[in-house]
Amino acid sequence: MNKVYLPLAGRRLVSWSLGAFARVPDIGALVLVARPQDGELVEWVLDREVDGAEVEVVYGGETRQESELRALRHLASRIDDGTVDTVLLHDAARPLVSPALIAGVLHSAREHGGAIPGLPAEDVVAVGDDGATLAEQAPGPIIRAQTPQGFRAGPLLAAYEQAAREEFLGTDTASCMERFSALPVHWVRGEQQNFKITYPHDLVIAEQVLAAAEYQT
Amino acid sequence: MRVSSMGTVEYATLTCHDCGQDTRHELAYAGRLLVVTTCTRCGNRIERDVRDRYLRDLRQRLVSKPSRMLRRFRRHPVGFASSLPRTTVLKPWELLEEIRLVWSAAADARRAERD
Repeated sequence: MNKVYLPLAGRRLVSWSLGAFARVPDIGALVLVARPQDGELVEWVLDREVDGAEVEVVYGGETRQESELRALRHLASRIDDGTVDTVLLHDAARPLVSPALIAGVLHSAREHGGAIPGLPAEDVVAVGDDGATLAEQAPGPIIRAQTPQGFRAGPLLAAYEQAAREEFLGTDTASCMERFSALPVHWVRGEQQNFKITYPHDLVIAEQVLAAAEYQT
Repeated sequence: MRVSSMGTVEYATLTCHDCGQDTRHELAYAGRLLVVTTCTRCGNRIERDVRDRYLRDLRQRLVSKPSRMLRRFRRHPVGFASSLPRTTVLKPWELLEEIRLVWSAAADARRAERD
């Protein structure tokens, strides 16, 4: 099973994110990109756990980037006619994203063109060119990127189409935009609790965070 | 999802902090609580003593059960009605298995703390 469908405090991981997005007034269409083999589970989750929000399901491709491109193509007509002006891409493995952070990223992306949330990485040390010793020069400020990453919809779709034509595979949405778009990307302060579920104990921590917040993100 | 002889069990790929690999993990839940995780490659387990939280959670689930059933009935009356006989038979059994899982994990967690 894809980990985004694991239960967390009574709901699936993906339901927590969808719920947070649905509570942001400026969010219009909600698109869930899923693997075709998860279709039945997706239907069950949306029916049982996502109340009052219309979620459009798009089946993804082989890579994250291809899946995102399919979601953007699904929105293409609404991007063209201006109904969708900004797109936020979120990793459902970060179930504790808050509506406040989503609204902050959306606001910043609308204002500047692109926005990603992140936390200052104060414990990062640069390694020298030999790959073994530490570099003398400390790197400039570095952030640990989170999601959702937001961009103006038109340039985002154009960048993804160009990346597909040139067979470029980026590490995340921002890297694709960096390569194929001149849109300035700002960062907004992320949240400690917006961590990615990677290790089993992350589920335990997320469950405790939700219990402490009385099951509200 | 399957209801095993010990609570609800799910499988997903997570990174094991013991063997450091992305491996299939078995995750056993009791109600809303994750009780045991096991790396199927190296066998590394996390067992939690969630007895107090489980009892609080169970009370909350029992209180909210009628409204949840009513909501399901309103949305899918036929599906709800047809699943009712099976659920009525299985629910007490599932509950017993949850309790068994919670108490067994708590005993293991206590034992691990002592060792």
